[in-house]
Amino acid sequence: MKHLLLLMALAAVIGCAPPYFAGLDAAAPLAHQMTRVGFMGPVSTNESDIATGMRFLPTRPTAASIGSLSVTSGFVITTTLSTEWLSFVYLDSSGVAQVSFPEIQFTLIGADPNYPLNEYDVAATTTTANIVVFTMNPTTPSSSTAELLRAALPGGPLALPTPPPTSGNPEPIANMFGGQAAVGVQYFPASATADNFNLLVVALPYGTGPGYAIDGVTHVLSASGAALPGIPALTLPSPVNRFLYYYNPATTNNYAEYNLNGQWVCYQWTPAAPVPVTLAGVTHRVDALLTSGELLSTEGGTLRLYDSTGTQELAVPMNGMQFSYEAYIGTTPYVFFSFPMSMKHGWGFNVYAVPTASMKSLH
Amino acid sequence: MVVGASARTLSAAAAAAVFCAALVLPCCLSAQDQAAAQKTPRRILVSVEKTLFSGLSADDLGVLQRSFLTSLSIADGAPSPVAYGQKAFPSRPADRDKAARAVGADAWLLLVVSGSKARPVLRVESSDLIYETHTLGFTVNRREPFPLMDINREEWGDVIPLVVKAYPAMDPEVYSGGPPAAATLIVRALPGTVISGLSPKPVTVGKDGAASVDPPSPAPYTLRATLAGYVPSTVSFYLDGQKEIAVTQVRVPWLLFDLVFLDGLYPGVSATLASSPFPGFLRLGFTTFRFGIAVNQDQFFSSLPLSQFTLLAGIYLSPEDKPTRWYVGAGPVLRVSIPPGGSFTVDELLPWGVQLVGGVEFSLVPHLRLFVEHAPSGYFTPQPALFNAYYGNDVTIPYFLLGSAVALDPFEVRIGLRWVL
Repeated sequence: MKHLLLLMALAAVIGCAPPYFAGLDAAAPLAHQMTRVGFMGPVSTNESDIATGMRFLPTRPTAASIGSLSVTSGFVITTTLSTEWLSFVYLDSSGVAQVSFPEIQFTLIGADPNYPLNEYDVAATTTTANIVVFTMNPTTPSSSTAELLRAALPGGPLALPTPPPTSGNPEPIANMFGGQAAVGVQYFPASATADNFNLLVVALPYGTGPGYAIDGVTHVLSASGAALPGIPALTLPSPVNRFLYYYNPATTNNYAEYNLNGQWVCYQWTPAAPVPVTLAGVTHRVDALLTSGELLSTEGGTLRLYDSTGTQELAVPMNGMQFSYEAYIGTTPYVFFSFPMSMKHGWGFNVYAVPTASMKSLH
Repeated sequence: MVVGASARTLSAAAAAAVFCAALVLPCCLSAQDQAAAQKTPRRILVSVEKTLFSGLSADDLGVLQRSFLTSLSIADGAPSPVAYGQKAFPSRPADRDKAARAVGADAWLLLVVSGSKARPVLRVESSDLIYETHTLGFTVNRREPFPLMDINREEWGDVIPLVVKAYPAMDPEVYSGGPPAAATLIVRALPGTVISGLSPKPVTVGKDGAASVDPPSPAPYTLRATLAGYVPSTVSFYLDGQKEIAVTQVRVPWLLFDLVFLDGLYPGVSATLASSPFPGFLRLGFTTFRFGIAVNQDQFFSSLPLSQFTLLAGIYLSPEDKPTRWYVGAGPVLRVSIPPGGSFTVDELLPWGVQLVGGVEFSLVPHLRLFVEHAPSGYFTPQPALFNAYYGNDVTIPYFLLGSAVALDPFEVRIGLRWVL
């Protein structure tokens, strides 16, 4: 009997909790419908111990097929109470995740909780990993800036482009458009090697009181800066200086969404039918317009898809899964997600992809 | 505290000594001795032991036992010794009687050496099963050390004459009032039962539930009854005029339930379906990590929404009627979880694995066994990079990565109670 007691004691001493990630299992039903394309980690940034949130945006893939894609680098956004830190991370030759310092700091002071203050858009990869950070000032649109950062592959570091833009980096968006202020910005993949950035801009001075409107001087610019047709005056119920804006070059559909008193309102118009109409079905924050023409929302941890008329096609819990971006693999557009996991030596990120065409069949 | 000699060594040596003595003894018999040999010698179970602080090693004890058994074997009129072959002689007189009967002896003797090597003290206890008397109980204080390295020089003049005197060879009539003669004995058991121990060859119980044997009587016997699907039965008795003996047979249990604790004392249950007559079994187990004690963790209790199912195919290596039974087995493990905010799912990190099991169970009381299992497990992981990142560069017991897709836990241990229905 004493031997058994000894054995029991030994078992208790050497016994420990088994390896297990509850979050990974919670996200499993959704993850199983996607292709897991890689893992990055463990990543330990300077602020990861005090992080309130961690995101991973993989470097835009250059693979010709999803089967040949591997995640070897990307951008980590560490969110603390008042600051976001952008880091470039990569796998070294031994397959060990490394953080390429220095980290770039972006303030969160003055952020409107309904909108992202800093929008991180990973741009197509050539010889560098590229990311554009739009800082959309919610109260003073003329102060909104854009900043391009590049990391030499494979190991960085993350740095300003050479030579830097003539108007500085970060560059006031207003400088790009003759003094007009941007109130919304969109990244949209054009191909495997090119992207469009579309902005919703208003002329200065813009209105600040009740009745402030997107009027005839408001227009949309493509990445090339060509002006798209303006829209008729649209009277808004109260001051709004910040929009979520999306433009579909295939259909010429424009979408502008704003939040007022906690309610999201989404307008849609086209150059051919320029009078904005409200999409009553879209009641959540829209995070992306997909190449399929569908609107994607991840508000509240629920993945929603709306068709181009605002009809909800899908609503599934994400259980910790985070939307990264849409990108072309070869000629097929995929939607990328990442799943962060806190672990003993930092953070790990699983990266998943699903063909854009299959998004509506997720469940 | 009494410590037994190395059982295997001693019993083999003792058997050799008795065998040699049996060869030598007939040559030494005089005519008078041969007349005396007509009598039936007694058969005595002998155990030689030492106390913890006697200063004797196990080897020393072996030498002493061989010396004592040899001396007793060649002593005129002495009972035939049978060496006790287990680790420690039973402490209860009733168990000692039982042990003696089990080997066909009609007496037992326990010789315990204490004191020191230089001034040993011998304590002798002995009991006669025929007359049901405690025949010997005395202590000898030696004033000189054992000549341990020379058995021939060892003297037992202060013990063996008393043993010979206590157990003289008996006239056959003394046993039961008649000479030993073959007596018909009916053994009643289930049809098909094989009875061994009463005749040179095992006999099989017929369809009428009886088997007839003709063993010499009077004499002590131990029979063993085996029948497929039934627990083997062992019965020790002293045959002295009985006409029949009935064997009680119990069906091999086909269903067992376990209450088990895994590793850091995570609870679980399992059900075993035993096959018969093949000593194999199939066991379905369920262990939850929802409530656990993990003494080496940051907190005393551990709770994970994780569970695992195990399916084990095994085989018992020891007979059903043994108080200690060994078994081995192997089978798959499936890990499932109901994570917060999620639904029931197969675990992502280590979804399934294979376990090898080696276990031993001890009968505590009828229908209840205590068991201990060592279950080294290998888990397949579809995400080895994540698993590796989980542990980093630590050497973390018990899990470690083997190859590119197997996480090994070589230390998994299960302890529990097994209820035999």
